[in-house]
Amino acid sequence: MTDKKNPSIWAFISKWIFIPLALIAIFMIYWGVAGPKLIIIEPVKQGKRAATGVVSNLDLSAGTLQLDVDEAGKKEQWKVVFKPNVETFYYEVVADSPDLKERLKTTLDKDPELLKDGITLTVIGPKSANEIKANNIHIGGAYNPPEVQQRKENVSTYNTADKLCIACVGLGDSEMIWLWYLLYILMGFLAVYGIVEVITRRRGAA
Amino acid sequence: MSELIKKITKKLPPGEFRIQVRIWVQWAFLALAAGPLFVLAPVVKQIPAPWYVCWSCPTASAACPLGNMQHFTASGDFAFYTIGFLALIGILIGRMTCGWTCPMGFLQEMLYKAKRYGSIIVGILIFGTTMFLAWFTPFMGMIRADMGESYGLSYLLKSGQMNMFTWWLLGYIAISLALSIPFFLPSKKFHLPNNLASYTRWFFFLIPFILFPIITRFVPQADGTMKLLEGQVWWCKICPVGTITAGFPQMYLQLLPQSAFPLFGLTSTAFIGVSTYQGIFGEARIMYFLKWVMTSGLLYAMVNSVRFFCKGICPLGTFFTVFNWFSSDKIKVDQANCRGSSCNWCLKHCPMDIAIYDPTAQWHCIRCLDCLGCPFNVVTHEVTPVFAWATRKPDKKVIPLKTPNGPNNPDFFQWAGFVSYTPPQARD
Repeated sequence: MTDKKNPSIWAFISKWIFIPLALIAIFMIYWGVAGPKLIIIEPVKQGKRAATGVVSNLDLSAGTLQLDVDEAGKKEQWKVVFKPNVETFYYEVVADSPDLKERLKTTLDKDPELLKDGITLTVIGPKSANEIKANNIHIGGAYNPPEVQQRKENVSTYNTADKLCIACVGLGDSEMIWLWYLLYILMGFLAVYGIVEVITRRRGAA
Repeated sequence: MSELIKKITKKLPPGEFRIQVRIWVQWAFLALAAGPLFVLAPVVKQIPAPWYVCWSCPTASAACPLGNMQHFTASGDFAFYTIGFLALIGILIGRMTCGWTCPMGFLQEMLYKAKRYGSIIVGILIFGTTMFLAWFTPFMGMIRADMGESYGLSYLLKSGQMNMFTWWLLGYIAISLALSIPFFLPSKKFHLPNNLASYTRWFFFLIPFILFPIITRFVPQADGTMKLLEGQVWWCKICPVGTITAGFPQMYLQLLPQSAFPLFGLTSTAFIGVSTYQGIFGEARIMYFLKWVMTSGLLYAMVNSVRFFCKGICPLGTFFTVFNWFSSDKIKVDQANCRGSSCNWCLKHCPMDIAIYDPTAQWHCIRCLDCLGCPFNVVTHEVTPVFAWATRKPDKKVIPLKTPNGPNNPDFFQWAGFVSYTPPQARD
């Protein structure tokens, strides 16, 4: 903003500060990519329409199973009712890269062997009392897919959008109260803006 | 080919030629960010894009930078790679990426320029999509089949609940009309004041983008203690860009069979969204409805106020804003010879609706370079001496004022708006 005839300390800073800042940014990129620490995303086991647990008492012909959920020591049992053609998602190791698994879709009547006692799965569907009617089943768990258990800041983490799938489309289990908080705070911001406007205009007029 | 280029450049004055170039660059980045170049996703999706397209967009080729930052904030980590990458871009070119590469910015410019036609097209899209969602999804959260076979109006029709079907159909038609009719009515273009835009943009950046993912990590337990869990990605939950580029395209894609996608051989990368999100019709309930209403309102604002989202909301733009003052490229105004508000040529031609001679408006400058067409040649694009070799000197000389303004160069505090500054006044 300053011209060449009137150099000032601000002009000097604005002209050259980009060099140290760029070096810091480059170091941040290096640190992010090279960070060796593992992160394990803590699975969300209970939602308003979802539960993740271990299967027992499976009865394929009757279309029922028992789901034993252990949420940080708090144990619950759900009776899961499902149709033979319920949508079922499962993971399979990607042929070219054994470290990655991809999520595939099928129906239970096509691949009944996917479901067995002792495995972990997530059931999504309406809950009532101790029963869930399954809209779809995620073998291995829906909210802790293997893809997100990556190294911290490993660039492969950016290759998955699984974690945000509910956020971008469904918002199925969102707490709406936060939306109201957001609106209240927005109104507060606008009120502050209005007050500042009034004060500065009065000053200007004076 | 070179003949053709010569003809084009001869016909167009330099300023207009620059605008043409920018439009073609924007088309190219649209193709890369959310278009046919999605085939590059296996490589490009490793990089947080300096533009704004949801990474769940079926044809997104890069990772959403805001989604990344939210992800790490909610996990209690600092996104070194993402923030470092974006900061490097900001340090080098400031907000230029908003003006030249961002598909959302391009969409807004097109909508605004299309005027009446753009408004009508968006109105039709909103009506059609609302009815589509009403037919296939619970949408308002009240029509739901128990076993996941069908939702919405289609469920009521199949189950023979004709009375309820009729009422819900009429209700949804009313909602669709309410959302879309404003687009068909005559409307007046409006201007979002710069200082209000600064307030709202920092609000969205600080509250839902930074604060909410952090405070939602603290979950009270039954025994009165507080446990640190995974926070919620709140910006993504309300993100209108997510709704426009991922939310409803994903809904439309639900109509296609799963078998359509592996044909491309990219199910785990470019089509990760499509391959992952099958069976999401049931998720579009009351929050989706609210999100859709917000997005419709925002689209109305976009049609009637140029780059409304960039100016008043975009957290990515807010992030880049910080770097505008010390980035290695700058827009400079010869304040001594600027005609200021008596001319306002730059204001009339600016896609961000700002007067470039006003330093406090520089927060909003997206370096589109349209203002370099200033008829008095007082606006120049300057890069740091390190990169001076890559630019050419202005080929026009400044047309001076008869009585130039006094030395009136704003410093950082004036630029940031902390200290008042009087821009050039009407003269000559």
